[in-house]
Amino acid sequence: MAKTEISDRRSDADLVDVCNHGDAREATRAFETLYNRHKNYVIRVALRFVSDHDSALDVLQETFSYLLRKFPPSGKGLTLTARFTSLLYPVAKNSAITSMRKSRRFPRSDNLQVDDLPAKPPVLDSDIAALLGELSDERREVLMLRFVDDLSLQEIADTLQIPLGTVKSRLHLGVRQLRDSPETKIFFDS
Amino acid sequence: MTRDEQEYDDLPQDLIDQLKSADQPVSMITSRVDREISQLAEAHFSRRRQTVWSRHPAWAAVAATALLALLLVQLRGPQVDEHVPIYADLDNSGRIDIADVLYLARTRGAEQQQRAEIDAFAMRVVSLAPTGETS
Repeated sequence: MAKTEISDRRSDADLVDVCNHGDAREATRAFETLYNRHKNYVIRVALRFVSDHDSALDVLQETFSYLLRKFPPSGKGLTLTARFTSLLYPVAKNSAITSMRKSRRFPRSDNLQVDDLPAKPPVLDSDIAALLGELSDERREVLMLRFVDDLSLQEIADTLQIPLGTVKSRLHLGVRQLRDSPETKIFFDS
Repeated sequence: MTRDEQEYDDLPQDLIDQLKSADQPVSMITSRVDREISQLAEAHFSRRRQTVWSRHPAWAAVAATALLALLLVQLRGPQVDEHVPIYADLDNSGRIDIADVLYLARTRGAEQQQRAEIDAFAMRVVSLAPTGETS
């Protein structure tokens, strides 16, 4: 890929517009810029759900393949109404969960829904596992989006397609749980 | 940050820093992976057949008009100057003869008024000596 993506200062919205309306060469370059700008984020999200790096790379490719299909050869294409990462997160998450299912790490069930997550994530970095291991998946997810990805509460609600009140509730209960947990209590006391 | 968000946003900064630090992935995205994505994008967008003209429709219209005008001029063929007398060596053969009449007929078309002029020219040619000299 050309190194010009690194210095490309166009906004994500502008790049999406070029992907929608530019010619083949311009659209390819714009897409490459979006990929380079956000590939690490997608990998981070993937690693919150999958157990190994190969699976995380599969998630990366699936996520951007999905995104590519949003830009048809002709037609309206994608409309960016929020942060680009808000668009990437659910795609990466769903792809990761699908990957987990395929890897047969979890029992098959016809009733298994996309939102069904294990009680503890399959693999987390040991530091995060130590810090967040006791939280439920839903609370951990909201905390990560809020404090690591720096999303606002409304952005979290939009990304996860849940009510704002639910976001606040999960966040509040998650923070309280960390405050009470022996592993993380020390941070609140200092 | 709104007051509402502040109320819930009470993780200690040290803990936030630890979470962010722990969330950073090791370098695993190789250039091979980058190339695969790039090839996917190139293949996908190659179906988009836009040319430079479709991006500049005004210039395309100007070019199309100019081309059309040029084609029309070519199709009309050489025009005979209507001020040339109807008794002249039109085909530059060195003499005025029936060939000049035929040349006039080809270039002037079949309109009735022009046909009359052609007929008059023909009469003059055949009424003169066999080799009409140009003036």
